[in-house]
Amino acid sequence: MVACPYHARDFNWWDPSWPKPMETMLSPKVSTRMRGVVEKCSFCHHRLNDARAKAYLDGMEMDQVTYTPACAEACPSKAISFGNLLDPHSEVAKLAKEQRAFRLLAKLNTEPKVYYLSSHQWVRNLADNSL
Amino acid sequence: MDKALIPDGVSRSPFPVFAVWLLVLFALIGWGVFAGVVVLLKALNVTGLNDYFGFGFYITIDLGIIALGAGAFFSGFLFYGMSRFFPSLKELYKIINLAVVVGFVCYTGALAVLLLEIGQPLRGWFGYWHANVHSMLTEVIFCISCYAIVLVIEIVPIVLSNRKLDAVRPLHLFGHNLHEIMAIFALTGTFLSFFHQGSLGGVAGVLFGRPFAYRTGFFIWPWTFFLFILSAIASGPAFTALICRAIEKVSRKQLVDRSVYNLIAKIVAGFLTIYIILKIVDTLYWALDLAPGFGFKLTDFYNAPFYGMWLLVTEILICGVIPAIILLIPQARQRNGLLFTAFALVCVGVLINRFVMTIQALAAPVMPFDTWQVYIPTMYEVAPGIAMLAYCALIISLAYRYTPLFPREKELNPTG
Repeated sequence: MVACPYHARDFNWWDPSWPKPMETMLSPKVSTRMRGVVEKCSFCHHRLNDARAKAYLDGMEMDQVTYTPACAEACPSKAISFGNLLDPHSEVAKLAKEQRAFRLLAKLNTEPKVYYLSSHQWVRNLADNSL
Repeated sequence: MDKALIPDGVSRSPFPVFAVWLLVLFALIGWGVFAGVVVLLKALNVTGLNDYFGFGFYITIDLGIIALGAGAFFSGFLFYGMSRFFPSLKELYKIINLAVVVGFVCYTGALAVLLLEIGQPLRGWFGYWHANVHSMLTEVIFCISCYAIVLVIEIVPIVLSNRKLDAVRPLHLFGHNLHEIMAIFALTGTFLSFFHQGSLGGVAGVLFGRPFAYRTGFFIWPWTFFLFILSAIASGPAFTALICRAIEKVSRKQLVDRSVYNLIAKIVAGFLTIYIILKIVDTLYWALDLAPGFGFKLTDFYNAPFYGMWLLVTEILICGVIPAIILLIPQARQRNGLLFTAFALVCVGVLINRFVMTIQALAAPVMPFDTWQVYIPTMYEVAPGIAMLAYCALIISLAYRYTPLFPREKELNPTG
């Protein structure tokens, strides 16, 4: 919580409580943890594990595994691209190298893996509190 | 009523008066324990902590009290380790018992408050068993725990010097023999303290996502590692001297020779001067080089009134440079008013430093659309903090009343 400047982490101040009918929307693969636990986006790590398990059974290479996190799947305008930044042929690797691509607080050397795209220079400058 | 427990040849206040004082302290401690139990049962949502402030009142007072309790390890290091090379340091034996008691209460009190600060106290043992080897906090938790054990060992001979306990021969022998090998524990404590005082600085200095606190450094240690050690060394003996003076004022007795205060003044003067010079250099480097490299100006880190530039001026100039000058001038050291004011300013400066490196570091906006945040502690944070101070006062009061804490007390107060 203290180290993250992006406010990407949330602390469970209370035990989670879900009204009766809303319990059905919970995923059995994503636990809602008790109070005192810090939560953050894990890029749907459970989906990665599922994809790897399936790849293992299908005899595929582990580093060839791809999957789609819930946010990218849910986004109606396909505004989110997800993939392997280290794979030069992946869509995200190509998008990350575009002129429009920038990261928040890149000057802090936090090396975030979330890239944003904007063609407006003032938006890109603002991401780094530019002087 | 408790005359049999009071050391030979000295007088203490009547027991009813002492009992009233104890009642006040127990009331404060009780209030704090109640608040602590509520926090343990209902979790941290009763505090002023939120997603912006992972560190708050608990951590700030913990860091502050641990820095002020450094007089124990540093006095021990000087007396047991350095006095053979610098015989004038042998004067410290007149105040070393008090320094150990102050260190004991500061560290045990800090550990008690620390239990409240963690999200799941029942899993507090994870820090020892599932230690994150990459975290400065791991070094902190191990070194503070080990040093608290050292302090418990160091306080045993003081407790056993109570005349009723001392009359029991096995206890007398045990206490005496423990005292004979105290140098080993003192130097062990010095080693442990060096690392945990520094690691507490390292906790702030490694946060490269928080440009207010982040520093480059030497090898794995950011500059704040060394600055925290130096500030603790400078303020610890000053705090011990202030406690001693407070006891003298309350008891209306002289408990240590003036030469002890003079010696502490010189020690504090030397280390405070070194610290404040390095602190100024570090601040300039941070303001003119490091922060601009991250896209920040110095003024981005200060926001009046709560987090204004006055904090920087107060910490460095009023509570650093001015007391250093006072303590370096022999004529100024001789004047009690100036001497103890300087000691108090040093302690306040360290507390401000701990505050800015925790709460202000989190309050300062980092992302371009962030805003300044204000942290307000609730009663459930303030009460345990005050209870901790009351606990410190309780143990010091009991130690002063029932043990020969000050070896020179009888000679300095011949009428009792």
